[in-house]
Amino acid sequence: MKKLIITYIVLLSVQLFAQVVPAPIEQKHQTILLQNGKAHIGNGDYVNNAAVGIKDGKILFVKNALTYKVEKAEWDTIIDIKGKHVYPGFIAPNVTLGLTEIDAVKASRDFEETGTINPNVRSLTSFNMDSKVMYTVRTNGVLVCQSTPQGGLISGTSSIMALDGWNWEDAVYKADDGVHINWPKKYRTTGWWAEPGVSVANDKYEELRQQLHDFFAAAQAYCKEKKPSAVNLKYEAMRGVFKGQKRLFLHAQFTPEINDIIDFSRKFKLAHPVLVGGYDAHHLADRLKENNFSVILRKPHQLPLFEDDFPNAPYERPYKLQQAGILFCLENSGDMEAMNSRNLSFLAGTAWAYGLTEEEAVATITLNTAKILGIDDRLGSLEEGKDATLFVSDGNALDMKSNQAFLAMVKGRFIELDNHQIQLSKKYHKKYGLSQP
Amino acid sequence: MLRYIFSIFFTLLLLTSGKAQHIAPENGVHDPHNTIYALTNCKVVVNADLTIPLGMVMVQDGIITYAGIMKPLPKDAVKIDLKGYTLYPSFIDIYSSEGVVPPKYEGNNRAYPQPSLKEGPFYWNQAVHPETNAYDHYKVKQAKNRKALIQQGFGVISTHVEDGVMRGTSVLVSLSDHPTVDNVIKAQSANHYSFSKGSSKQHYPGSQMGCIALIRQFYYDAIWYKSLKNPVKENVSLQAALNNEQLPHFFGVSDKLEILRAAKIAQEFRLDLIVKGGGDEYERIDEIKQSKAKLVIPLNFPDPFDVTDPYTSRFISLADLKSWEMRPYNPYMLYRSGIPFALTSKGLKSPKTFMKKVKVAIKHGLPKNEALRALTQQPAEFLGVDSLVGSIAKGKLANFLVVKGDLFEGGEIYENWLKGDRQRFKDIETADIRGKYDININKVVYELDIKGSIEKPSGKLTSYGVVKDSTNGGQTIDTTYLKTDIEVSGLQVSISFVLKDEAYDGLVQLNGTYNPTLGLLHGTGQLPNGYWVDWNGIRSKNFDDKKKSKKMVVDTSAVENIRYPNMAFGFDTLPEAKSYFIKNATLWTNEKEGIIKKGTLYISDGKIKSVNARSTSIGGAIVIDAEGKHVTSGIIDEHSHIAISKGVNEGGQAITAEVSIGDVVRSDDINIFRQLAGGVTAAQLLHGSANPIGGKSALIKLKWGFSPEEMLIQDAAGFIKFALGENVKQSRSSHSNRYPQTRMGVEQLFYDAFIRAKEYEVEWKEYFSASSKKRDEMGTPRRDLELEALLEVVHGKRFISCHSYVQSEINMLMHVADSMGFTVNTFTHILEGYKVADKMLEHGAGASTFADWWAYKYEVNEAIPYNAAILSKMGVVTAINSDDAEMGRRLNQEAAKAVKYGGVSEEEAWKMVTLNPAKLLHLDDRMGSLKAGKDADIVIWSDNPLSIKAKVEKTFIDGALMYDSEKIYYLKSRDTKDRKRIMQKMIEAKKNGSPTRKAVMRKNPQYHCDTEGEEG
Repeated sequence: MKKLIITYIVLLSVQLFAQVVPAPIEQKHQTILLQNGKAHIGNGDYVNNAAVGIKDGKILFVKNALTYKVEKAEWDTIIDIKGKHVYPGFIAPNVTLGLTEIDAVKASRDFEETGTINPNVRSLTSFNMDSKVMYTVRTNGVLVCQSTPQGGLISGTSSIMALDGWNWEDAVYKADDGVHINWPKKYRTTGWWAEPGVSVANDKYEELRQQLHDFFAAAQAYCKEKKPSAVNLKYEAMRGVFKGQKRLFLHAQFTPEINDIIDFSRKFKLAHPVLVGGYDAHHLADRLKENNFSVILRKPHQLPLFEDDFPNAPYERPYKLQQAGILFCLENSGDMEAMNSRNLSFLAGTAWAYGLTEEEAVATITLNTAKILGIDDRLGSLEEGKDATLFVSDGNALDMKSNQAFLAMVKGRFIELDNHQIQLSKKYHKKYGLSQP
Repeated sequence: MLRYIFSIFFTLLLLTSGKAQHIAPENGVHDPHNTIYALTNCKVVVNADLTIPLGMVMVQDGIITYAGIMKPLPKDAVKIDLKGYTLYPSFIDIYSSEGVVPPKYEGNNRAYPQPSLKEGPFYWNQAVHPETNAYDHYKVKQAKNRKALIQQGFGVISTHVEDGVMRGTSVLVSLSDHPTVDNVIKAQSANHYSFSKGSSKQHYPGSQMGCIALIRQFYYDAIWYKSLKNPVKENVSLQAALNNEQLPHFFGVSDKLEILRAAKIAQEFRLDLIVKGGGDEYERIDEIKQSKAKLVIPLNFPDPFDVTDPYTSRFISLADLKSWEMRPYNPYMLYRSGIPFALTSKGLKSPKTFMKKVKVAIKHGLPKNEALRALTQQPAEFLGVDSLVGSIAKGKLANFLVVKGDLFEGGEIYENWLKGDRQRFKDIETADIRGKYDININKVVYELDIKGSIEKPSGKLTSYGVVKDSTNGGQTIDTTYLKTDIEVSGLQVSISFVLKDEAYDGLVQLNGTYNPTLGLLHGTGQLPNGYWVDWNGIRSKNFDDKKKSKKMVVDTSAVENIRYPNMAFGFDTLPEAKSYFIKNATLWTNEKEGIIKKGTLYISDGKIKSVNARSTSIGGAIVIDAEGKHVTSGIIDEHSHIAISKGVNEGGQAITAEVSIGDVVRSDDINIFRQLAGGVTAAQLLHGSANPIGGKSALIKLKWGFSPEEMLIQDAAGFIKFALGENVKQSRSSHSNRYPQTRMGVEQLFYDAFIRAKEYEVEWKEYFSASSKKRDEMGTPRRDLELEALLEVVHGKRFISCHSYVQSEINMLMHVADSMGFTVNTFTHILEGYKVADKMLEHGAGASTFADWWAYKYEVNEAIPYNAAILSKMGVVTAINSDDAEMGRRLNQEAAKAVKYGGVSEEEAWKMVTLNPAKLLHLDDRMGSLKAGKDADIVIWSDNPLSIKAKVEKTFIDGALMYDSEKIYYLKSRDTKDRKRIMQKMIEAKKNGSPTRKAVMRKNPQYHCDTEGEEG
């Protein structure tokens, strides 16, 4: 009982003493049991009434609560989450979160370096741990992101970051996890953005594609020498890619480019090629699989890219990829993507509505993502030995009307589920004498 | 005596009227050019309806003096025997810009107030220059296509300065080689307009609706100017428009919807309207017919796409594929509908392909005589010059074509007479030597087969050689065929070839004279050895023109393939209201009955007849068992920018209350269909937020397939967009100096606008209350469309939807409104509304907001997703809107966020996308809830509509089934078949030698509030 009270105080402290900018919580207890929750494991499994044991920041077990006998002495804290849903922390790949604060204010944008070949620029050291946007994202269960540069031909190097920590060194999950290639487009738009003309064949495409080939060939040769006489930072940044330590993320939507990307990957014998975007990936699923590709699928909440496509085509893409048996996860890039990454779980929800099973849908923002990013040894599912980076919601977190944060932890440490928007809401509920939600 | 002389003089003048008068002095002796030419023995196509099989035409001094059956010639006539030829009236292109170079004005006026660079007593807007006369700018030397036009059969063009919104007058000019002073038939033939700003560097107008408003305001200015007794400032532009009012009014537009827009303007000002269309009129042919517009249409039939690769072919929309298939039928379909139209060479890359395209149109159903009408009489009538041109008749200009064969089928134009200026392309006297001949060269006989065209015949020579077989001593005859070079000039013929036979080895060159009566060639030639010998050729067989016997096949098979709209997911036929009885449904009534489980809903005649009535007579209604389904009224999007043509913002001025989105609704935006698939049935199409006072809104139902007029909600209240904050002060532009640049300036601008509007009202009131004598003294006040719209706001006849973010400015506008005596109907976006919810309630304003957007610009830093909940709890009528074509189709999900953020009940959350926006739009008497008597705008959902699992199954508007999640598979497979069918035709066209073009991808503009209507 005493321990349950401690828990209560811990949670309450979050409520009462929250600052406008939440701080990482110092926490003494190291053994925590979450009792009676509905556990969405992340690997496709579901336990209706689960006991989730956590020790030293790691998941000890997930067991059936009905048969698991609780020894209270073993736990610093026991939290009853009866009727609530527990998920692995959602992972948002390919996002500028932490690299941008206000889209329209150039001074707050740090995700696009000038020049076209920038593999050496990296998001890690620019990741803003004091981002107000970030605090509004993690309250919806997104606890990890792949903070990713954009633009140019080779945009830069991303890093996997937890959305909690004092600084980027605390928060980093995997530094410099991969290099991002913004594959040239075979079609270029004409007109101007408010009154676009038709898209026409891009006569620069071959030149750009060749430029990528040339860069890779030169970088590959350079990397064969361990200590080159003249250091080239751009080539140095590619070492991990050729060694198979870094992933290569190739961004493209349509079949003609994807086919070229597969050829490119074969030529340079890439170990972990990842297609990002992939509106047409289902057309080439077999070829992608044969060549060891996985797919980070662009958000279902987008308009069809072809006028003649079914209105619901983007909603149904995840199901098509699932049917094709290719490993894929969901991402949220596009307009206002940093802010919008708090809606990641609703993308999975839509995929669920349009064909995936609920647990398949959960996997598209948890374990699948972790596998594709190469962090599934620590993240992505509620399985023994993995980090206790998880999220408890009052209701189903994939549905807007029931996604309601109850608690969340990163590496076993509770995080404050507060942000300036909640504070402002409270302030004005109070001003008008309205009952707080 | 003097009187007698004068009367003789006038008699002479009358007799010679119509003949050219020599005003300019001559250099040398008088050379009157008055020879009479008589073109005899020919077929005369007088006009589209009358042909004289054997007739003659006489021409003197550029005028036809006789056209009719054969008759004895005057002695002094030059006879031109045209046996076997046909005369057609030459063509008239009344939408040309040939030879006219728009004037250029030096200077830089990018900074406000952006004065017109055309200095002088002209209209303030540089795109409006009705005083421009093309005759001032027409230079023969600049008419680069003149010769090509003549060769294609044109005799006369009406050409204009193709620049600006009001372009001034065109000049009707003959294409002859005469000096321009003699060629101009009518110095001012028509007024020209367009919806394109052109070279003017002023920001205004920066959108199509701006162009429309500008033309309207100009006309009201001209009316006012006319009423001025003593104008102290003379305005040449206004005066020119008044002077030229009686000329035809000619709009150059680019598509079918723009024709309807031009017609609306013409109707308002009772202008005699001609429209140069875009070539896609067949897509809205009924509406165009009703508009009574006369048309001039281009023959810009596109090349087929290269569709070899299946993946790149996907980039091509069905709309573009269909456009390729259907455009050649456009002239035929216009003819079939009885719409008067002329043809123009405008829109072709080169006029050289014009006749080819006319023949394509004929092949696709346009009758030949109608093609001729559209090229001659019709354009002449449009410009009111049919007494001068357009047919072959006495007294008209001698503009006709001399054609061998059928002009529209295999025939060739030999000559084009332009006001008597005889332009020859082919010599009518060149002999037709084609046929088979036995050629005897110094007693050796060959067979020569001459084919090809008359002017450039080609020949095949057959020579017979004897081959001896060395093994058996036998002989065989070896036949060889040789190509020969043939040249014909008049009756002189040259033939050369290289022989290698027993008789001759080497080059043989022959020259001879052709005797047409005998079909005989006779002359001398040089043999390989250099000797000159006699030769002759006797025709053994006449030439058989197989090409002629190959009949042109007219194919109109594809004309019924029109969809509504003519693109993917278009309807085969437009859906109609039917009676439906929906049972066992969970009904979200939005009324005091709340959510009814297992309820019934009966709709008929486009209305909701009963909701869960105990007993209803449903007649022959279609019964839908909605077991497990949820039924709601349709979603209404308070803030949408879909379905708009060419610019959502008229940002050229800080106040543009005169423009209206209702003028530019675009009915073929695929996003209309996509919204239906998301359960949206009505929307307010708002002007953008580039300026503090934007344009008027269009309230529409998403009636996919219907015309823009039919989409507009009848008798809906008027709305107008206002905007505050970063966008209106142009904070993201580093160079703008347009007022206002601060929120302080925004406030002053509002006060000023409404003060001016009230003063305007006083001015008119004084005018109307004055005695008629006093009125005369005062003069009629100038109508100001901008201020009239603002007065409607003051009088509660037009409602504001104001784009707003931070609390200071929201507060400010309410103060402005209070002091001016009106209410701000809706604050839209209103992301800091939660900070002033109490004040909004007191003022009576409603809120339409985003569910959770923020962080996209500085002024949304304190936006919170709890906004809707707080506003709603405070009693403010609160809606959730999209401002985004993508989110617009998931508004049910956005409403669900009000449950998540702030704990709004599901029923209240649902009202935020249905009943509440209906209230904000003053449509709640007919939309927004399930209530008997309201419009049958209904959605059937698979699930609780706020649930992430909810899918739209059926969407009805006015009782007609507009979207059906089952039928969509039929539409898709139909579209796929259509795609394959048309692509197969394209492949065949490519095989038959047609040039192709690379795949292109059609793009829909995705407008948001801050999409500037200004390029660059």
